[in-house]
Amino acid sequence: MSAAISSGPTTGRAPAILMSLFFAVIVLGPVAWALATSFKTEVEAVAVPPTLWPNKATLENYFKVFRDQSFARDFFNSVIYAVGAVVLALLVGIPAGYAAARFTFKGKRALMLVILATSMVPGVALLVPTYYLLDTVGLLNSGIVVTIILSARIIPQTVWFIANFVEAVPVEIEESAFMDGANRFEIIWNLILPLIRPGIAAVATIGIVTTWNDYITVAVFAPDVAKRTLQVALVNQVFDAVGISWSYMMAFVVIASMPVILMFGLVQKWFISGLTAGAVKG
Amino acid sequence: MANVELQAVKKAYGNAPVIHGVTVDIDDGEFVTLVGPSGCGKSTLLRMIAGLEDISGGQIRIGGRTVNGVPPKERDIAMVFQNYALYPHMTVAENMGFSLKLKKASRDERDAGVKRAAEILSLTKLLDRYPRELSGGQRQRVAMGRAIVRDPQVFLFDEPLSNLDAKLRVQMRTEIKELHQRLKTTTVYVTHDQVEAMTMADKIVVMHDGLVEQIGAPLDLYNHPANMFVAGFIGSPAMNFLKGRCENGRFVLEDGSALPLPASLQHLSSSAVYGVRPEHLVRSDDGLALTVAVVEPTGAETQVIARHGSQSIVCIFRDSELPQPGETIRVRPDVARVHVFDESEGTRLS
Repeated sequence: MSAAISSGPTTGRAPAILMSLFFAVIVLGPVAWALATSFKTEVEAVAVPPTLWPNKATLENYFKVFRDQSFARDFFNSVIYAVGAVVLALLVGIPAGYAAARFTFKGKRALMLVILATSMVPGVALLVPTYYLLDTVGLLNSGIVVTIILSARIIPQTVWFIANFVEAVPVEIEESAFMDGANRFEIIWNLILPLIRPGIAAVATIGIVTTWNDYITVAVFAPDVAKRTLQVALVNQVFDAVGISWSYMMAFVVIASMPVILMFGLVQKWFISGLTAGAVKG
Repeated sequence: MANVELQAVKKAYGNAPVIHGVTVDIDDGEFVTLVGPSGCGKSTLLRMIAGLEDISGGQIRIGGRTVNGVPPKERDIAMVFQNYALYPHMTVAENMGFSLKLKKASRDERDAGVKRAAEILSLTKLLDRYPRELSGGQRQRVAMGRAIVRDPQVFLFDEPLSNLDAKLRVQMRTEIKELHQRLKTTTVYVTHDQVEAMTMADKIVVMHDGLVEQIGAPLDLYNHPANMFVAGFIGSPAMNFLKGRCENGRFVLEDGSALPLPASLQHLSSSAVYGVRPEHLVRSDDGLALTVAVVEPTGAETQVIARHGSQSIVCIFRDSELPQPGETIRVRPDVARVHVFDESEGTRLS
């Protein structure tokens, strides 16, 4: 009897556990490989047969990355573009999402569909026309323009997410605040923003990941070395270097991934509850 | 405090009218309930008084000032919502003090206002809690506290007890009535529960399909309903209605049985509807024969659902002798409390 009770759930869970392990290996394998390689010497990194773990771990690659004078500048650019794009997307997306959730106006449904449709256009399809446009008006290599373009990529999803989260807030809470003497701005500031904080964390995280990992936008519209991001610098190393130092590059990759991982760790609680709330709302 | 006047107030959504011209005068300090079935327009009317809905026609005056088009915050009124509408991320104290914060009141003023309201509603020990940590009754009290803090001219309540269980509803009903007796603030209270309306109000406004059917004191509506709708809506269980004819000073049912008519109506000679409340039927050997279908004893009284032909008749008896299902009983109405209604119009014939 007790055997049946204990073996039942375990047997049922075994395939699920195996599947989870399989996908974890696929997802985490390259990450672990990069991490391990970043602690290897250059010689060991290209040794045949390859070693799984470094024979003698070294931090030299990390020191080299930090000693690289362009790293700080590239890192700073990445932060500015990503944070700027997300802040701009929230500045536009929160009022727009609120309006979509709370106001009734002619053509609202069509407008929301158009906003959604814009995010379905592949960014690559817009590269050439946008490049010619910016080149014509002399706005290539502008950090502000790159930030705006990156922001434009994430605004549609931001508007939709925020609209869903605002809809989940009972309208009576706002009406109650109206009765208490609040105006629309005070309602958004004092009630809506705190109540949709998980939603904001979710869209901000997705936005940061999207913009931080962007390569093509910065590479095409800001080709100047002084304007490049970590992602562009990384790719440049692959093509420009006389000999690629894999261990150095993996250290670079690990450092470049850290801000996004750290941010996810910080807002994980809000992020998950935000995604759940959005899903429940449908 | 202020009086509230509604003059031919109308509301339409597009081409669909929902309130057809309501005129009601609410005196300073009066407790008025708007009562009616779902969809009758009572909540819409309340929201129009609050300023949460536009007015399609007519005038609303609060304290003599016309407030059509005046935003809610400038009407000096407070509203308690059905689902309480508390701010979930704020403590009880912050919820109650939010309106004062918006008014840029000093910290001391805010604290004093919140303390006063909390004492009135016995919320002092709960001030640091969040709404999620409160029971339904406590949440309801916080919602009222939020209204009291503002010291408004008019309180509006939109079915505030609907989400509470039966016992708590009765308790909160008493608390709201006591609160009104203490503060004497003009109050407009929406409910679909006629018992709530009867027990709490100085004046009841009965609404049906966007129209006012009757306005009056609770017992006035109970004793002198203007029409069959009010007669059937006010009172629980509902009034029994029997179809027939007034002739020769009596009311003759379709099967030929006769019921007595009040002296003032014995001159009538037409088709009509005979109305008698369950509590105004008494057992009598020379009464109308009924076959008992269901017996529902509640202790203090017994509700009996009986049949006369195809007609279902509800009786309430206070004696201890319980009839049995299938048994034939005879009842006669208290003739002084009988109502007769015009068959086509539904209006009471007096």
